[in-house]
Amino acid sequence: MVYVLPGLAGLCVFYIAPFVLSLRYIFTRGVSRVEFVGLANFRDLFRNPAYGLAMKNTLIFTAISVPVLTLLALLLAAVLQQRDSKFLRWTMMAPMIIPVASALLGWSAILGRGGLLGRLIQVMGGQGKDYLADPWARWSLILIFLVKNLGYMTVILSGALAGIPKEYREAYSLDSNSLWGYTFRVAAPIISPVLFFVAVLSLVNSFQIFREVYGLYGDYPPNSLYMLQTFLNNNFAKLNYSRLCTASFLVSMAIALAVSVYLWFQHRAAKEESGL
Amino acid sequence: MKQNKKMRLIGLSAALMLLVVIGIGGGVWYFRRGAEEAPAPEFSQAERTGVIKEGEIYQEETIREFPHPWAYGNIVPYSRGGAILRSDDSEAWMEDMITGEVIQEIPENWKTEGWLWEAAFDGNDVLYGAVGVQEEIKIFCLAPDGTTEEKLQVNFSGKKVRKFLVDEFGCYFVDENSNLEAFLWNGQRCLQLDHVRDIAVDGQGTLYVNRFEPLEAYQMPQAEKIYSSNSTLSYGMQIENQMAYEKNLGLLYINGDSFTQIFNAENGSFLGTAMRNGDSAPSMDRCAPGFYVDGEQNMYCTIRSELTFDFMDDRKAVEMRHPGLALGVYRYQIVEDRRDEMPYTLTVTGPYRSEYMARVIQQFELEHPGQRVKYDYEYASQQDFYRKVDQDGYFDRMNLRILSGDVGDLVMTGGTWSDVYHYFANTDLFEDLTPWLENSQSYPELDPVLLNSIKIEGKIKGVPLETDYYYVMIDSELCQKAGITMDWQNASWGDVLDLLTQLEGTDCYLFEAMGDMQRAFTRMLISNMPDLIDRRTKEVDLRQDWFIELIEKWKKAEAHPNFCKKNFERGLTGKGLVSIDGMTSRNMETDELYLVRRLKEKTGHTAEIYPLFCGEKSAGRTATGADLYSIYAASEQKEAAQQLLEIAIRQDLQQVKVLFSGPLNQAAREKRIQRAIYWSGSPNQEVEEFYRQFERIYTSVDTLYDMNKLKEDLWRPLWDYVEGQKTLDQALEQAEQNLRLRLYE
Repeated sequence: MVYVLPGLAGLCVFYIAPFVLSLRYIFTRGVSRVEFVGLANFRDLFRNPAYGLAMKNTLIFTAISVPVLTLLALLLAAVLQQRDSKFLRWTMMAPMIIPVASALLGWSAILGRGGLLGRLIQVMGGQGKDYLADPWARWSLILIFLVKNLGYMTVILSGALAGIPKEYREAYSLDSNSLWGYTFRVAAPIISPVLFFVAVLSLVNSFQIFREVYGLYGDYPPNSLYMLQTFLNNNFAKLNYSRLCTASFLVSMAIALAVSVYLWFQHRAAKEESGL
Repeated sequence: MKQNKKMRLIGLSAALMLLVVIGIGGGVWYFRRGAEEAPAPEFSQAERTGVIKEGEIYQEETIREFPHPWAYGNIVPYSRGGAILRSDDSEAWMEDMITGEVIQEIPENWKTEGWLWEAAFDGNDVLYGAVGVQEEIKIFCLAPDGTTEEKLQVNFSGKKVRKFLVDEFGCYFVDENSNLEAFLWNGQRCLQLDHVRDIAVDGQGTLYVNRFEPLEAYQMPQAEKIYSSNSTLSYGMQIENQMAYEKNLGLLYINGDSFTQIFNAENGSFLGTAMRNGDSAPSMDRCAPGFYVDGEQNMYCTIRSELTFDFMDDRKAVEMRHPGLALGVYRYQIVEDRRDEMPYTLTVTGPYRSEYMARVIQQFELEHPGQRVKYDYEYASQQDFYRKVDQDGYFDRMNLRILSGDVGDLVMTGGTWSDVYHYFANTDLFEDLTPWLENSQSYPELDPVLLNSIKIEGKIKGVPLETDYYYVMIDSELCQKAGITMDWQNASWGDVLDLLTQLEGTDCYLFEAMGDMQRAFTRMLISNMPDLIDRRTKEVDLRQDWFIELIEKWKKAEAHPNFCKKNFERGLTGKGLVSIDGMTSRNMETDELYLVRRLKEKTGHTAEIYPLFCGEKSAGRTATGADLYSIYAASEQKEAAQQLLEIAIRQDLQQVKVLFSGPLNQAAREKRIQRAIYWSGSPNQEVEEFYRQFERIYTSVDTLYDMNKLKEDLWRPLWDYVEGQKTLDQALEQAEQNLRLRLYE
């Protein structure tokens, strides 16, 4: 307890307390003359087309990027198990280390108007486009998200795979030599709590993609990239604290729900393992 | 093996420690070295002179005032200081500007010969006079024995002299149209320049010329250019006759609308800003015709004590003389700021320093000696703010400050970025100013259109102290030549684009513009935006037939050979029907008339001024708000904040030149027009008619523009269509999506 106390205190002072304080804005309007409005802020929020678009985009982005990231990370981790290379493992962490602003400069040079990708396609006889603009913007952002997070998630899953006793692999090899078969039929169920952890972490990271969106496009990105965080940020700029707090409360609840499901799943897995 | 590993570990640790020690030591050495080496003041002693230090202030002091019917009250240097040309009904004389002691009587025959424009001394205190005789100017010299000699007779095309200087090599004139002509004493015209704000001589044969940009120096008698320094003069440096050469330190002082700045006369380099007029020179705004700096680096101005414009009714009789005018000599010297230790009682917060607000604060402190105002801003100027605001995240910081109550009693909540005002005004963080405004003494004089357009749910939460107005300049002769008869006052953008068919096969252009036509396209959208977007109901309807037709018409026009002539300068050249770059500013008295006169001089054409064209469905004429101030709801000094705002909207303050754009106070606008007419140099009927056209620009406005951010969402996709990068359908769809998003956030 003594060890976690400083961290806990910081968490309470800088995160939990402001969050609790912001709850009053959910049911009220006004800043200096506060007026109780019940659930009106929720009603307004759900009717707001900007919020609807932000919600839709965030869901689409999360629904595509989180499973793809988890799957790719698992496959890459399995390959790395076969050919273990410390150098490769460390280089995979590089995208996490590079500052966002520098990385975005690179991405702009590759995907932006007149970028490397466009020129390459032109050389091959195609027509180069601005891949950071619609209709490509969403896919470009998913690519950026995958490149940034894949290494980190792979390292986590590699660790989990390395922890599986060799006997499982040897036993499976009596039936088949397929790496994919072993990974999905044997290893994945064993490391499922870690897989779920990676999925939750990816979910949280997918919310943090706002930094990249803001860095590339500013306040108003292409419509397909107008995310919940963009909505929250712009409402802060417009001093609409009630709407801002209501929306962020909903986002927090959604993340809390995902984490709760993870914990429940982990708890159930532990229970099954112990045979209780 | 183990020993080796241990040694390696110790070695590594030692290397790490060494690296840390070197890093820290190096850092300390570097910064201490920097501190030791950095010179305390950045300028040398000579260069530092005149630049204000912390805890100091320039203090304005009235030296003397006297009746003075002359249009210009130039100060010319002589051996003991500055001299002013004065006269009464029978005599004229040069007197010391401080003591009033007569230095030299003007000989009677100079006045009988013609109109004595100006007089000046050379380096030996020999007096010269510039006398206008019909189309020519005769230069007389008063020899030490009292005899008069006619030194020179030059053709000056009947123009009026604004500035006259002499030295041992020749004489120098600046006329009413800001043209410089320099003559050597042998009669040879050695230099002609235009755009001249002021000149100065050093007595050693160097002529300094302030051409706004650049600042130039010429060596006489060859008139060889010594330097041209073009990165020095501040924006807003546009006052005529406001340059002085200080011979002790070799400095050039240039006084502008907002600042006085110092330059090295040797090479024209900028040395520093001396006085900010908003802080130190409450009288400077009244017309300041003369400027002088003494050896102690004190500055002097001759300033009109009061301008009354009733003489306009009988202009001929008082064309250059007005018995009611008085001239004051003011001194500005650096003193210790006595208020420095007084606590602040009121705070004004804004993103950038507005010279007008600084002037208002100064006036407020003068009228309320018990109050001291803290002017809290992040950027030194509006230009600086616009340059950095996007990268700096200023508004995020500002929002946090507002929420935490860390802002002043009076807060700038809008400028040309007036959308922000809407966000602020939608909260309860700022006071409803409606009841106070309606009881304000200046309320009847305030523009009701502007006040009405900033009402949100019937409440005015910010006062727009100044406003930008847009207008066009029409070449009347060219219209006649092309057989175009158009009601320009009520013409819509569509009507104007239709004129292209009448220009086909001619060498005339529809528009003349500085830069590309993107700005004009945006302005066309602005005129129509009120009929496309409803901020209140959040409805967007871009698919109206008339709008689609208009955009298609513009695209077609862009490809037309007679569409637009691009200019490097504002105004017309006799080749285009319409100049679309007009925007009201404090300098209309010099700039706009200059453009019209230039057109007349070069082509014989006359120009008329009209408000920017109407929207297709309704007039949709918008002005852009600037400097919008609100009172913070949690302020404990609301009454004092209201008193300060009251001063800011008062006519006497609203008419000052440091108010960059159009005043909110209508009486002040009238004063500005009158002043512009008066200072045009030759206030005849033509000039008055020209300036009266500004009235219709002010009064034709329907609303204050509040869609600045929305405009970004609209024009970008539509411009992509004009440039062929999108189909019209794609562009409209994109614009609709963008707009809805912005409106519903």
